[in-house]
Amino acid sequence: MTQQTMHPLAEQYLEDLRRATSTLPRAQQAELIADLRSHLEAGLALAETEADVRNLLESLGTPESVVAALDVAPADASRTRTPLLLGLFSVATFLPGMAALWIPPVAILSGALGLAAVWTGVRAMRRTHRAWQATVGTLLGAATVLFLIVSWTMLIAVNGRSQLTHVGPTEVTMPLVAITDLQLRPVLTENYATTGQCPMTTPETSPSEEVTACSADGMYIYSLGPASVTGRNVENMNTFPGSSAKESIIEIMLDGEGAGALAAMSQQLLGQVSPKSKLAIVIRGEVQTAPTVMDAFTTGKLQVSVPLSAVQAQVLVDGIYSRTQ
Amino acid sequence: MGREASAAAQLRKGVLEYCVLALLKQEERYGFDLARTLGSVEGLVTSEGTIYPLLSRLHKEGLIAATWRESESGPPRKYYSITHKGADALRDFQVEWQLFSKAVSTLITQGVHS
Repeated sequence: MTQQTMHPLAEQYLEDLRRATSTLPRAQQAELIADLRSHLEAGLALAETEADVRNLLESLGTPESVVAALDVAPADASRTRTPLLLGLFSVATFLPGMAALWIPPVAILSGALGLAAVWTGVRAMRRTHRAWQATVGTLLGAATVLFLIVSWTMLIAVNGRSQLTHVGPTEVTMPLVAITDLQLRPVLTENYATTGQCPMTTPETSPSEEVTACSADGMYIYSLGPASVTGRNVENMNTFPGSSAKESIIEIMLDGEGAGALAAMSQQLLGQVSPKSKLAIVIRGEVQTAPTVMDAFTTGKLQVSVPLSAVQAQVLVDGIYSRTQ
Repeated sequence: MGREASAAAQLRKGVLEYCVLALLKQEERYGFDLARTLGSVEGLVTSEGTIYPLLSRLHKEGLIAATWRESESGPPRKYYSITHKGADALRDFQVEWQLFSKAVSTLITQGVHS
């Protein structure tokens, strides 16, 4: 059905009406324009003079007065506002989550808000038009969800990578090996490393054998007794900030077998002459630290300080922990 | 707008839909026809265009029906007719209106003449 163009004043009126109803749901706008077009067609058929046309439009009333007679459904206003608010909230909850390095509940919340923003926004955009609030809300929500997916993927990739390199006093450059990566061994001898001795490639040794190892900073070389506690015994590991930016505390919690072995080993080392009183924490063949045993460790919990920054310590623990499971 | 004029406007707004229903009860009409008829009643509508939102609402509420019909003299026209629900609503209003207008009329007349 083709529509004939009417008198220019009538067409102008309908154009003004279209503009005045631009924020309405499409269906409602279309119906109103069709009704008024029909009215104008009927009126123009009777109009004989230009004055008749003007009178016709005059009696019709301005587009604004016609629009004012509509019952604006409150749902329409909120339909565009909801996605905007959801979008803003999803971004607002996402940013602190990022800063705190991924609190999972916050990440899930902002993701859910983002998806809700996109869903309500798309619905609103389909029903109404020129509703910029709906568009903005949808974009914000989509951006949040996108960022979450991207950073999640990156986090998984980082955790799964086999090479971890860091600039700093401790470089963990050895590839992760298949044997247990954490061992607690009694120190037999401790000497300054001479040039060329450290770092050393660690041959595969069983925990029950004596071994020679370098300190992680390459300054000392140790000969170590058999490991009575290995990564298999680790139940949990945590890191805490140390007394300076370059120092951190690693807390190791052992299972029953490990706790017993640790208690026995520390009891043995207690009171010995240095360096035989030291307990070496060996991570991937390097002695991270070798503190002197002052008390027997009876609780199966060990706290040692390492010369690493908080981030380096966390990365170290993450790398081990996921493999000692 | 004066206070009393705007009070009258409120009254008009309230009864307008029943005037529409009453007209449609007599016979089905198309939009332009309804608009002209209502417009000719002194002070009932301010602008004819405002009946279209009203018709749309009455249609949505199921009080009137609307059908597009071909017309020999030009483009198709939308004809409105009253439904059963609309006829019931009109009847209920007629009862209310008679009581109400009689009471108000008596009161005001007494007030004016006393």
